[in-house]
Amino acid sequence: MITVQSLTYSYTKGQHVLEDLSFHVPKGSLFGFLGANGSGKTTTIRLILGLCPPKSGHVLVKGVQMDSPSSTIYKEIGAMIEQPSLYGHLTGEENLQLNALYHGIGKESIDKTLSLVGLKHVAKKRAAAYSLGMKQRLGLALSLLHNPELIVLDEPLNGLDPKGIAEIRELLLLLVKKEGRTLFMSSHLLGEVESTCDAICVIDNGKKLFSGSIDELRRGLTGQATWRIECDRPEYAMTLMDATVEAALAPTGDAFLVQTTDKKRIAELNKQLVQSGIGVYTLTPVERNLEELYIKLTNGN
Amino acid sequence: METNRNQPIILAEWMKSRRTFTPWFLVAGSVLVPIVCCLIYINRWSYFIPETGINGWSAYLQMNVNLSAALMLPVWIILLVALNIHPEQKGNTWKRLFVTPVGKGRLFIGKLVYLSLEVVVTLIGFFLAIGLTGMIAHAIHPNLALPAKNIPLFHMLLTTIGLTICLLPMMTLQYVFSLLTNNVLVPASIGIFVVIVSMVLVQGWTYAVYDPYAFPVFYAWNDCGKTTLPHWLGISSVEWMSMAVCLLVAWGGWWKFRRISIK
Repeated sequence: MITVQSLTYSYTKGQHVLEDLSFHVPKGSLFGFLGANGSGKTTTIRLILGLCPPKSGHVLVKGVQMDSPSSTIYKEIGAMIEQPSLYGHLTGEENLQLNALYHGIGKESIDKTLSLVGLKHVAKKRAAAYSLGMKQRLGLALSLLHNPELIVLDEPLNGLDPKGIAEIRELLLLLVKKEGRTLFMSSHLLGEVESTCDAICVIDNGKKLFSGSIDELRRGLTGQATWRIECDRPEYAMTLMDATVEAALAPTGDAFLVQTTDKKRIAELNKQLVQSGIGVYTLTPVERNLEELYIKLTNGN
Repeated sequence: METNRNQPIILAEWMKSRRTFTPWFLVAGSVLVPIVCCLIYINRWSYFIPETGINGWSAYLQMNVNLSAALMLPVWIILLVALNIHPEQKGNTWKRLFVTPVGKGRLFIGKLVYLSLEVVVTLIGFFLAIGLTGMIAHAIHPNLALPAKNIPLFHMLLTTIGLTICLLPMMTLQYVFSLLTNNVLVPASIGIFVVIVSMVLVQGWTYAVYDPYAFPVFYAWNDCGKTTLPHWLGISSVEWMSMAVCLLVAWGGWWKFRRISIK
C-alpha cells in the first residue's frame, strides 16, 4: 500500500531530517511508526501524504508517486497530521459537513461517523469547546468520513483518557481486521503499538533502525529466547545447568531464567531437573516488551 | 461543468463564515457610508439643495462613491480578505484541505471567487443603501430633490460594476499575499499602509494611475469628472488596467499556490 524508497529530506541545506529511509506498509496491515520526538516521524507522514516533495527518494501510495500527486488519490486516503485541523467556530457536525463537501459525498455518512468515534452527543457543540480527547476523536472522524482505503494517523491516541484509548484501539482494530483497511500510525504509546500493530518501523534521527514485525525485532535483538523455570530450590537447580546454558536467578527468587535458541534444549533441561529430584512447576517463555526492545534498539537515547 | 465542480467549494466557504463576524462586516461595508452621507444631508440640508432642474441624486451618489472609494472600501477590502483567511490560519487547516480530492488550484480559485462574490454583494448592498438613505433624506427634507422616481438606476448599475472591477486587483493582491505568507496581520498592516501612501500619491504623482490600491480613487474621480481617463470600447483605462492586473495576479498566485508545501 505504501512504499518508501531511499527517502531523504532536509529543511536547511546539509541538515538531514530524514536520511535514506525505506520501508513498506503491506495492504490490510496496521503499521506502527515509532521514533523519539524530532526523529522525523511527522516529516515522513507529510511526505507520504504529498504535502511536501522529498529532496531525493520516492513515496508510492497504491503505486502513485506522491512527489506531486493528482488530487484524486486523496479519495483513497484519510489523514490526521499532528493536532487535528479544526474550524473552532463550527460544530463537530459542521466540520464533517465541510469535509463531505470537499469529498463530494452525501451527508448520510456524517451521523454514522460521529457515532463511530463516540461524538454523536456533542455533534452540535462548537469544536473550540471540545476537550483535547474530543478534538482527537473529531480529527479521526474527519479522516474516516469518506471511507478511505488507507488511513494515516499521526499520534491518534494523544490526549485520550484510558477508556478513550481502549475505544479507539478497538475502532482501529475493527477498521483493519474486519474492514480490511490499511492503517499507518505514529505513536509514542509503545504498549498500544505492541498490542495493535502487525508491523513497525523504528526511526531515530531520521534514519531507519528497524522495520518488520515485533517478533522479528525481538529475535533480531536478543538472538535467543529467555525462559523462566519455576521450581524447587532454584539456586541449587541453577548449579545443575551445564556451561552451554546462561542461567540467572529471577528477581522474585522462586524461579531462574535461562537463555537458549533451541526449544528442545528446554525439554532436556526439564528432564534433567526432574531426574535430579527437583520439582518443576512451570516453564514459561519470557518475552521482552516493546518498550525494552525500543530502548535497546535506540541505545537508551 | 466547471461551475458544478466548484460549487461545493464556494458552498464550503460560505459554511466557514457561519458564526463569524464576516456577514456583519459585509452589512457594515454596505451601509456605513450611505448612513453617514444621509446624516450629513439631513443635518446640513440647506447646503445640498440642488439648483432647479438638476437631479439631486447625482451629487448624493458622487458623495457616497468618493467617500467610499478613497479610503473606506480599500481598507474594508483588506480587512475582508484578512477575515476570510483567518479561520484557515487559526485552525491550521491548510494541511486538512490539501489532503482532500479538491486540489490546491481549485481551493485557491474557490476562495477567490467567494471573496469576489462577497465584494459584489456588498457593493449591490451599498447602492441599495444609497437609494434607501437618499429617499429617507428626501422624506425628511423634500427640498433635497431625492425622490424615488428620479433614482439614476442605470448609472448606479454601471458604477457598481466599475467600482467592483477597480477593487478586485487590490483584493487579489491582498489574497495572494496572505496565502503565500500564511499570515493575516502582516499583509493587512502593509495593505493599509499602502492605501494611505496611495492616497497621498494620487494627489500629484503621474504614475499613481498604475497603483492598484489607487484604482478605485481614479475610477471615482473619472466618474465625477474630476479627472478624464481614456476610454476603449466605452470602458475606462483604469477598468481595463484593473482587469489585467487582477487576472495577472490571480494567475501568478494560482501558479505559486499549487506548488506550496506544508513544512
